[in-house]
Amino acid sequence: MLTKEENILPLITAYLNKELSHEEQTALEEMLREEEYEKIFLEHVGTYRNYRQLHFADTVNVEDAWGKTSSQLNWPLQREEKTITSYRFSFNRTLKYAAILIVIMTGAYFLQPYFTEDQTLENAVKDENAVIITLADGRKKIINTGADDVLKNSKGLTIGRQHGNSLAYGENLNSQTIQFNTISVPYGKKFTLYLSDGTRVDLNAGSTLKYPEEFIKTAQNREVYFSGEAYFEVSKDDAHPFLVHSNTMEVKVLGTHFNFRSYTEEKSAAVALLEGAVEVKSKTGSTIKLKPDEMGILNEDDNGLIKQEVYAENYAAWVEGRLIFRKVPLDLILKALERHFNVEIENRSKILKKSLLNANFGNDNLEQVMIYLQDDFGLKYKVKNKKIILY
Amino acid sequence: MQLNDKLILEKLKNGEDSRSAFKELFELYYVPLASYSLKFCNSYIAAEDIVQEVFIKFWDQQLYFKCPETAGPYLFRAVKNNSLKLIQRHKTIYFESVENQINLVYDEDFIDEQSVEAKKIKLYQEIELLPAKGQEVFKAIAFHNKTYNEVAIELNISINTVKTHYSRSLKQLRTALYLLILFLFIK
Repeated sequence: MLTKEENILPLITAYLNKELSHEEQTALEEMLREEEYEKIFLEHVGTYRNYRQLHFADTVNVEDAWGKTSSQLNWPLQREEKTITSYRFSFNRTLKYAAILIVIMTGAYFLQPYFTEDQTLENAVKDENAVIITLADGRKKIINTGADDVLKNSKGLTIGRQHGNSLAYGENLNSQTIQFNTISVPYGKKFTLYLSDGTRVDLNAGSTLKYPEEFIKTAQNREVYFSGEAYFEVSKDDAHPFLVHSNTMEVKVLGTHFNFRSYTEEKSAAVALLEGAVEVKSKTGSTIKLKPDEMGILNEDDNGLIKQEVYAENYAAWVEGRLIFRKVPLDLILKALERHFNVEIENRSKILKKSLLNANFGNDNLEQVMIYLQDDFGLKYKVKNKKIILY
Repeated sequence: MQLNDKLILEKLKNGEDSRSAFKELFELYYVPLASYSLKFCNSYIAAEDIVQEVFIKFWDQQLYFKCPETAGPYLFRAVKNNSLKLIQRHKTIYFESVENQINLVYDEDFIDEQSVEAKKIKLYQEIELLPAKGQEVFKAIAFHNKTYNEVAIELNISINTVKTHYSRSLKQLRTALYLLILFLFIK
């Protein structure tokens, strides 16, 4: 006969590892009505929580946390000078001569285009490009996001309805073969797609997605092809797993919410899971499973998939137009700003090249973001020839 | 702790040197709040993010004007609410009413650095007393949040062996903690 403790222990550990099934949950709740079981439960869970807490408190870096938090605060009235500014000053002084030398050497080249008058940030914003959909027969359709329209295939059948910044498929076409459409979203724009199975895909600026105008029942999987950044809310259909292919990896899901970032010009790709469960597979063959608030990252350099605990909501904040970065190198932040604001940014500054940064720009406009970069990161900006230059 | 809190809160309300006062408040409560959040959400990163968001809101919306005596009660309440919201959204099963009895440990007036320090040393000593494999398994699961499966692969043992080591470790460590919890109940 098992003792009470042996009875309840597997349930307790499953509870702590968030792996409790429905039946087990009911069984455990039943047991906890008994005082003796409750006592054992409290002792074990208490031990686990206390130890985990203790270890956590030891690893927390309050200074780091303060840095992250204070950089996101709206300091009222006068902005006090920050330590980073004074650091910059002395740094500048020591490098003054080197700097002058560089200016002289390159002056002839730089001066020429810069004798034009000062330009404002508005001048840096490029002409808008349109969202374009390539239909199965190769026709290209320009989406006018200011109006509503219907999308028709080569047979003249309506396959989707566009309303402003979104396009919904899901007309009953009874397709026998898979017909792919491809959408490309330019810099400075975002777009929402509803696929024929009800899956919602929010596409960030500079993204491309190839998807069937209708998923067909006889196909084993629902497959789409993707580059860029998108937030997926996949409709549940256990019989037809949803597969997202990018050039470096593949995400397999049944029904779930996740953010997928895989821009071809970036060296790493990442999947952050908000709800449900997904399986991430790299093209080189390694596989990991993700739980909510975990992120799978693939670095092209070392080719391995790694798993990280994150606050996944931050990674999907762009869907609501909020720009949040957590431990991101500066060049990737600037790339994201280029896409978001449809501008070109050249970074001539040598600072912060190697550090991982945190920033929360919220819904700030381009000017506010530039001021933020200046105040918090010490990067000044100017606009020349339709380009933002950081120095 | 409460005394400091009171002084800081006054400075915030008066607007004198409020920026450095806010930093003091942050340093005073950051670790206790984050540890408190961990009890619910069980994720190191989520716990820190939740506390940071609470502090940002506290500052940006000037919520210190709404705190009568000290800031602690509001901060702990906000962290708890946000942590519970997160686990609800993730549909994590959490027996709140039962676990509340453990959470007594982290009520606001608990935080006395000396006692925390002493408790810490005691608890770490207990881990050292575990058999070598049990120690490894326990640390991997409780500290590094690994699954049975991952630990099994890492240590090259079967999942069942991992489970056995883990439950034995919990059992042994629990006896040490048992006294502590009892003490808290009496208090």
